[in-house]
Amino acid sequence: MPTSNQISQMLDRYWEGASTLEEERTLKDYFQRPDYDLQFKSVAPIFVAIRQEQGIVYDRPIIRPIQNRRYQWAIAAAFLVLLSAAGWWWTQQQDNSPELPRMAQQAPTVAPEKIKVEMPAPEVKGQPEIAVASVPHRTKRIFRKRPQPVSEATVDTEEAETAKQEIMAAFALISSKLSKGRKEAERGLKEVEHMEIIKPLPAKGG
Amino acid sequence: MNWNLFHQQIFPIRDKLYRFALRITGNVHDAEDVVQEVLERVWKSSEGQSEAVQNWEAWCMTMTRNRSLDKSRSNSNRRTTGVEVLEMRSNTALLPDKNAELQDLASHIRTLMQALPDKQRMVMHLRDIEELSYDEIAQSLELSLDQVKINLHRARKAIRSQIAVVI
Repeated sequence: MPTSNQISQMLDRYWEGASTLEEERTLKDYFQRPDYDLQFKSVAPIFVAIRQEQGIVYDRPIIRPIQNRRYQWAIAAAFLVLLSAAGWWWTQQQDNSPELPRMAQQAPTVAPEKIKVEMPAPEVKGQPEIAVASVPHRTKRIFRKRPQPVSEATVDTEEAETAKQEIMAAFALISSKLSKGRKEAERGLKEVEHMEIIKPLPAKGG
Repeated sequence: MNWNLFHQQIFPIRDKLYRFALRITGNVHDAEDVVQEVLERVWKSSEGQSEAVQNWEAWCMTMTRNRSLDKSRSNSNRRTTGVEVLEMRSNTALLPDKNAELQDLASHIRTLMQALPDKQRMVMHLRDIEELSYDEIAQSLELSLDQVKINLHRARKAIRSQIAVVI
């Protein structure tokens, strides 16, 4: 145990910032003793506080991030499949839409030479000219699907509007589900990435 | 970073990182977040980066200081929170002392340390709590040796003068 004189000298060096680490450890040890010299009573709390703080430990689990790319690929693949399905469904709805015949009636006529170029399928030769000319940019798709003959009975503006709204609602639903699913997947992926908790290695020989 | 290197060099210093983060942020949750962020950053470091780092402890301390300062700057009530946190932790300290007066004074010392200017607080913490050499402190805080010694001297002097007022 150091003498009071030695402690006094160490304290002087401590205040000056000139003490060694060993001397500072000696001071911390000294002031943990119940029988330290009371002439140092005013400085004892400093070293008691330091020792107490040295006892603070990090007791939380250390979490190791895991980069599992398989999940990322699975999510990307699922997203693409859903997107393709939605696209296919959308085109089907467009083809069956009662709006097309209505558009056919309202659209302007096109030149005959252009009609010939855009009519590759033999079965469409007999189609009314007005139907071909009605939607010049969609000609191929319309005749590939063998369109319904244009008649006044099929052109119902109210039904067309209703169908359009239903289609848009269905598409909005799919879109929202896709968005929600993607967010869920991202959240799940984050949790998966943080699942592994690091533990200390077992001591050798123990 | 590979598993063995992490266990040999990073795992043993987690308490130091936490105490240092706690000293700067003064908040348990912020300090825990900082430690986790630093450890994750180490995990994600490439092999080339792992080989380039000479002193992982100093590197982690520097990272902890930077992240903690960012946190504390965004936390306006750092000082008051910090005092409360240290009070709570001190109650579960490893060294029981029957002298209630001494405990109260020790608690007051922690409050005074927490109130020091940033550099003085960090230097005194790394020297007195973590027992780092002046070189290690200079490296961790990116200060010169003279700056380390000056800040340490000022911090101890401030604590001594303020505790003399109380006692």
